[in-house]
Amino acid sequence: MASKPVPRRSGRLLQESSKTNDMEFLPTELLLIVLKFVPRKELVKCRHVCRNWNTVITILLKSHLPEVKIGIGYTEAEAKIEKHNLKQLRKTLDSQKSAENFPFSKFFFGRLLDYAEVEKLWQHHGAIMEHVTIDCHNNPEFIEVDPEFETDQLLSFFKYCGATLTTLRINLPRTVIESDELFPKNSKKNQPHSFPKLQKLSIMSKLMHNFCEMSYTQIELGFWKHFLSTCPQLKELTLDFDLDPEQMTSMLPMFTAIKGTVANSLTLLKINCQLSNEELQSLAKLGNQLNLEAFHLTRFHCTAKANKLQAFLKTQSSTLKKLKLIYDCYYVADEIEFESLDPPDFGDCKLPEMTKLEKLTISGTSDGPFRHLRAPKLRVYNIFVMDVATKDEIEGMLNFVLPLNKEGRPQDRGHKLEVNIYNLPRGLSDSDAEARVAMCFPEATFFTGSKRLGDNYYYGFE
Amino acid sequence: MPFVNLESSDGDLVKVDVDVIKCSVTINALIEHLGLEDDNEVVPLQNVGTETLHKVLAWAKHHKDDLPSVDDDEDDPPRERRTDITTWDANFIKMEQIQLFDLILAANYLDISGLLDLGCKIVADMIKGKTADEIRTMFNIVNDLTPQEQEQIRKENEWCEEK
Repeated sequence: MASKPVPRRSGRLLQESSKTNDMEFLPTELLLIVLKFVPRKELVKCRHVCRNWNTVITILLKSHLPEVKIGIGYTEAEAKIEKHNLKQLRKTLDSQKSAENFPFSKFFFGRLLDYAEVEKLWQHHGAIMEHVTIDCHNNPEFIEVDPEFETDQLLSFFKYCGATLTTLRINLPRTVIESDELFPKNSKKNQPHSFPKLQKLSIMSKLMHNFCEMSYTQIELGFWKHFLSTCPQLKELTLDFDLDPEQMTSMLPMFTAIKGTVANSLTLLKINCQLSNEELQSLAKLGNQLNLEAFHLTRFHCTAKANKLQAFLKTQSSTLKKLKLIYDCYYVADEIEFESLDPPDFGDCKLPEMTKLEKLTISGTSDGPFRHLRAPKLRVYNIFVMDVATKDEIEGMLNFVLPLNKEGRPQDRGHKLEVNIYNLPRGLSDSDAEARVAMCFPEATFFTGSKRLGDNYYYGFE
Repeated sequence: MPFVNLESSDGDLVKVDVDVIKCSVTINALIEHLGLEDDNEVVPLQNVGTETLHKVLAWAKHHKDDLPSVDDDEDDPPRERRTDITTWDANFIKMEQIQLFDLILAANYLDISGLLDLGCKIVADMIKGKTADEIRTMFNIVNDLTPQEQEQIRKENEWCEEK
């Protein structure tokens, strides 16, 4: 039983008792729940209420994670401020009896202008850092930065912080991808870096500018094999890559690397990337080793062969609880031609019964591979309605999970199903979409329109 | 339809449809483990008064057909609906602070997460927008922080992203 009975607090007695401590308010375990509903900004202020609240909030902040941001300046003046802030931060940390008292374990490192000071911070206090984001590319001028400098930063960071990291989000400096400095081969002096506690890893590699000449074809198999083999606890892996359309084979080394290392421990895999047929085939093979509970594939390219994806889904059909597939139709629509907007052709191929699937999110103009999907435990169904979808197509998407009975009402599945229908920003007007869907399924819940869902949500993970 | 008899701490018996009280993990577990098949069986609830018990049951009855929650992904679109309090709940929860706290304690004891969350959200709303001083006054809390501790908190807060 999850709940421990709490001693009864008699209201009448307490009103008469003296005002001594906050136990009159609510027991600490309940205070914790209350404070979880208080926004972070207010929470910080509430630390001043009393000692017990401060203790509880400090614990909460560690899990809620306000972020210490370092290195987001561009100019000389900002560099000065950064240097001052870094010194102050280090002083604050130094003054703690133990680094564990510092309530913030989440850090953001951007373009670091004062690397020497940051390295001191890592060296002295790297052990408090559990959740770290490194975005070396957040400076629009990044191309002018000495690439060696970025590699050195990472080397130092891994050295001092690697042991405590549980979450790492990293926008890799491009040079590192080509480098084997991080995992030196046959070197006695340099211990290979390792991430014994790392559970969530998110790797971004973004083409930030149109004028960028470098491509990402140099992602070395060796690098990823080394990297992943030092993360024995890795459960969640996010791959958010912009690949050069001319060089569509770049994800293959990553899939091969997963196969030999973390395939058994992974429960969640998110891929935000256009995959070629070859890559999808590689993924399908990898599927035999994976037992995923959640799989997301966004920007799934329209021209890709659907049967490869189907082969992968077959391997995961007995374990998947959440599945999200978003086709990259707009990309095609903008860059090539409008006729390409059709989703991948799954033909009449059938998927095996997804015995554990609880949540399905798809986009497209038809029900595609899910026309015959059997998912007895499905509870949440999200649909992204394409702006070119016709009423018939939308009905098709709804009908397979919500077959109508003779009276035109959804058949009883034995339990309720939550259906959310999202319209895309450049799609129909909200009222049009709602009217269309309401015609065929009056009980659906709507989240329509660009106010709630921007391009970022649709394409990316954040 | 099976029923179960609940006895409040005030000694009052309340006959409840098992389907209504199934939201309580505590009682559900009791029924499962003890197999209360006899309709005359009584479950004593030493930590829940009659008035509070009736409130809990009113809430449970209204929410008995709710969907079980599915864990949301962090990258899910924002769902204000989930955090919003429904009109029914908002009317239901209008009560004195002392009754509200009793209800939260009961929800915790009976392990009814929906009701516990509702109560805690209301208390959280009471906290929002208030200064530390106002919060202490509202809940009769004595400030036992030393000036040094307060200074320490102030320093640490400087590193919060929202300055």
